[in-house]
Amino acid sequence: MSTLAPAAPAPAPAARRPLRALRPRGLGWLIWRQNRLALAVLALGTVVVVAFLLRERFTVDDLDTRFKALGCTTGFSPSCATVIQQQEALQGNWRTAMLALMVLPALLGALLAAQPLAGDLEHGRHTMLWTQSVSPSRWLTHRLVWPALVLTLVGTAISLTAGWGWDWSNPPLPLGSWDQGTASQTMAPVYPALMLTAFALGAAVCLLVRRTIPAVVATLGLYGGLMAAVQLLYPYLMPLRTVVHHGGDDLLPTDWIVSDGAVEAGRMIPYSQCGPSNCAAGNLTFEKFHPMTDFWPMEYIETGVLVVLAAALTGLAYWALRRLTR
Amino acid sequence: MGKRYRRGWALRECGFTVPAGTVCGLVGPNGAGKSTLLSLAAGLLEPSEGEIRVLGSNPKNAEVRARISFVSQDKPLYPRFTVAETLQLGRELNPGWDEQRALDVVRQGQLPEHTRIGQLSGGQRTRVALALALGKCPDLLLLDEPMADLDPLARHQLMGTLMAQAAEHGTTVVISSHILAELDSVIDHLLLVDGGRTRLAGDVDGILADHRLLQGTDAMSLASHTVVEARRSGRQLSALVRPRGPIAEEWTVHEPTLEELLLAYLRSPESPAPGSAGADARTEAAA
Repeated sequence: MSTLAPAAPAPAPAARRPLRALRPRGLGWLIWRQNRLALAVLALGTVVVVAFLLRERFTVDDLDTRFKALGCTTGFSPSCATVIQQQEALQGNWRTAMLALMVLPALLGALLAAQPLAGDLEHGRHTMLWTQSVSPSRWLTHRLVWPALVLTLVGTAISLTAGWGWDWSNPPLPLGSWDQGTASQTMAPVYPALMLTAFALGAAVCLLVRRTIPAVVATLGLYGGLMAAVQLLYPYLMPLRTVVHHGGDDLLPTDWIVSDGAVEAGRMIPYSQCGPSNCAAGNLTFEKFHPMTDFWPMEYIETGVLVVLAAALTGLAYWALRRLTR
Repeated sequence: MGKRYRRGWALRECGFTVPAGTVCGLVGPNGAGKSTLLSLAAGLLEPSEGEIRVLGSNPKNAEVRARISFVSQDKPLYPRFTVAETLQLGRELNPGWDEQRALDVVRQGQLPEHTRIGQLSGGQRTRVALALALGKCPDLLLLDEPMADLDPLARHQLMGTLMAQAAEHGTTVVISSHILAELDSVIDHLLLVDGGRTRLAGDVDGILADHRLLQGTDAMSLASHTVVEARRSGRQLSALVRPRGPIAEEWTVHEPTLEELLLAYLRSPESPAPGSAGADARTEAAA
């Protein structure tokens, strides 16, 4: 059984000194020590996700090249059918991966914010920490800043890779599918902002709830609500364009048609509300849509909204902390 | 000073001074407000009315915070940290950390360096918590029933360690405890809180000297003294009083022990506190 003894002042080898200078200190050390397993899993997971996205992206290009080499753009052969089948399967995989990425911020918010913060509060360790030479606000600031930096890096790495896949792939995955939501949410700068918002949500919830399991469950539930609200409001971040015409339309494949229908007695009604005698052929029809030029402005507007929301949630966390120490 | 929670006042009209360098016993029944008082002194809470000054300043000030250590009743440490990592936590978070002092406390308990906190016994965890508190080199050490869950031997050993450290470094110690015998011969200052109010505060010797334990028969009069507690057993009467003049010769008189005095006050929550209306003398803790 070894017992503690005063550390012998061994001189550090010169090569190790730079590494020692980089080691986390103070509260940074505590946060690293407390989350080192989670951070290791996160780093490994990020590498795996980026590698997966890159592999998918190159497979998409490979299939596209084969599609062209087989002359499928001018004629059709059984080989073309195989390639098309593979392309469709790949697109399905890609969308599944994007949906998984949408869930990831909630998991990381629960893992890096709600769980460690609420754990300290639930087990009273905050009193031990706050009676070291660390004020509660300084404790919370470090508890938020360091994981937030990590999440920003992770979110940026993943979203840039995802965006590269969506945007620059010839485009075998046209941005016309941005109406499915995942394209807009998994790109930078929206995705890192979404990660930070989920993290701030986890922090605010745990300071209000102060119990680990309820805080984690509430974080996941509220994130689900947030995503539903984002999906609902996203089309209206910029004014929709409207075209009215007699049958057919001249919209581009990349335009996002948000709603369409028929014009009856000067009123625009969705096709779903057309009765058996309404919306007869020859009537005027309409489309409300976003052109591709709206994509990036809407991305920046959504990022701004999420950043403001993250700031408000962070403010809520500090307010809850202040209430706890009053 | 007072502190109010949603459910009501935890402390009210609470005023006292603890002299620097003393070991102060904080005594009171469950729910008396002892933990709230210590949390206020540690800067973990703010008073709802009045103010608390520790080491001459608000305990929430960064400079004061660095001079206070607090060990709460449940000794919350990270169960997955090793003993060495827990001490590193103290080193990382306290600029005035004294590694040797913390190690001395840990070494006395023969604690294995790489054992996780979660695998330690209650006494060993308390020792690590005390090492963390003492390694900070505090001027004021606040202990909230630190020995409550320990066996008598561990309690005796840790109390010895604690008092030796406090004496060596001139640390002011405020220790709350239910175990009255544990405080006797250890504390030189007393703070008795009950129902959120201070009932006794002052130098132990002075408080004991102000009280007398009288034994006689129920025919004998106590009218000329302030009676803290009177107990009858048949015709026998024993009473703890604060004399307001000469004591009649027929009484058997002796100075109470600290435990007798505290038990009498705790059994008689309605008895007048020194300094209250009707009491014979004003009690004020030494400045």
